[in-house]
Amino acid sequence: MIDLGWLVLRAASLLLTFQAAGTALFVVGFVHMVGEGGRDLQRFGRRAALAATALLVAQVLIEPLHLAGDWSAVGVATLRVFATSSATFALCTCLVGITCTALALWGRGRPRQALAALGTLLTLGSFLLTGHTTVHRERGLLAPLLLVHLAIGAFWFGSLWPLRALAARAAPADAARVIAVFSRVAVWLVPLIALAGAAMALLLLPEPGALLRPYGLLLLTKAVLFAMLMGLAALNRQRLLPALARAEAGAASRLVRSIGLEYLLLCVVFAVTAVMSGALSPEDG
Amino acid sequence: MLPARVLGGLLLWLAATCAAAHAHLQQSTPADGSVLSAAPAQLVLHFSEAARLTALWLENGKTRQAVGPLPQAAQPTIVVALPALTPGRYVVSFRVVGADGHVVPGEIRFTFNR
Repeated sequence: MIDLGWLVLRAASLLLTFQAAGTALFVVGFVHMVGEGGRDLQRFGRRAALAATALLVAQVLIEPLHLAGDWSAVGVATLRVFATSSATFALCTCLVGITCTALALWGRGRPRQALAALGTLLTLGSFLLTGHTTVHRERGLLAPLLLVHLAIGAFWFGSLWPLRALAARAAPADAARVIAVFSRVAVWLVPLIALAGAAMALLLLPEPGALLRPYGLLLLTKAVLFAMLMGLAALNRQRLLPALARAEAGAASRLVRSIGLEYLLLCVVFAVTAVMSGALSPEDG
Repeated sequence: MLPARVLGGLLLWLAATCAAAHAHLQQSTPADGSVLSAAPAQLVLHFSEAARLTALWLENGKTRQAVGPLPQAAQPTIVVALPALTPGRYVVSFRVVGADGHVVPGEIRFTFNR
């Protein structure tokens, strides 16, 4: 039960951390294009960052219990392991990063951009400090691949809710203009997530048969979800966005629904990732 | 009812795979499932990689006690002194953390007959 609770907390924390970091990246790149909506966008990012901070603090507090498996077994020895564990160091780094991100979403101008960049780097970099890739002999290759995978994933995920809000509330022409720019950037960046992910899988999985074990099956699930997301993104880009630009009746609500579905699918991807990276091993499980 | 069973099955599957991942327990003394004629004075756990023991319990019927002190260093072979045991069936539950920071639970069962 403790492990299940820890895993649920980890999944929720992962989701909100990426939401906050990704929204900060979106703010830096797009806030000048969204006009009055910029304040709502920053407020949303701040709330995500504060919620992520709360969950990260909860993760730090629950970590000794996760190590010991029972409150009665938490003692000096457990706390010593907790204090020196790579998982604790990564959590604390992520906490500092997400705090910088929250502060960046309060500020304006160049200081905001610098703080957002630092916060995102620390937040995403914290995932390189613990886990499967840290003890692998190909760590030198895995670390940059993981960073690319995480950074683009965060930008994509963090942008979706603001884009959905924009499609729902802004004038169709304004929303279509911002979404078109995002789409032009995403069409180059998002495939790199799959490329980096595939390269990591090649390095981490010991043999093709590992794809039929739990870790591999979840990896295949992620690949299927990614293919579905690509289908939705293509639908948005080819059909729904041009319809919004032409201010067709019902175009905005169709795009809002489609982006909402894209967001939900990515939430499932994060849940699957939390299980893969928290409870399973590419080499064994 | 069916979703609850499916969820239960999924959790059991995850727990089983979780136990098989990362720092594996390769061998133990007493061995899992062994029947002993003398009380073991210590527990020896051999792992696939250096691991740090974060918790250890000894369970005999309804009583469950934490065993300690636990060694602090990460090592592939962990030795822990056991308390004086009376005849009975025992379950040793442990948790270790590997170099990748992942916690792996495990269990060993043995019987001590005088």
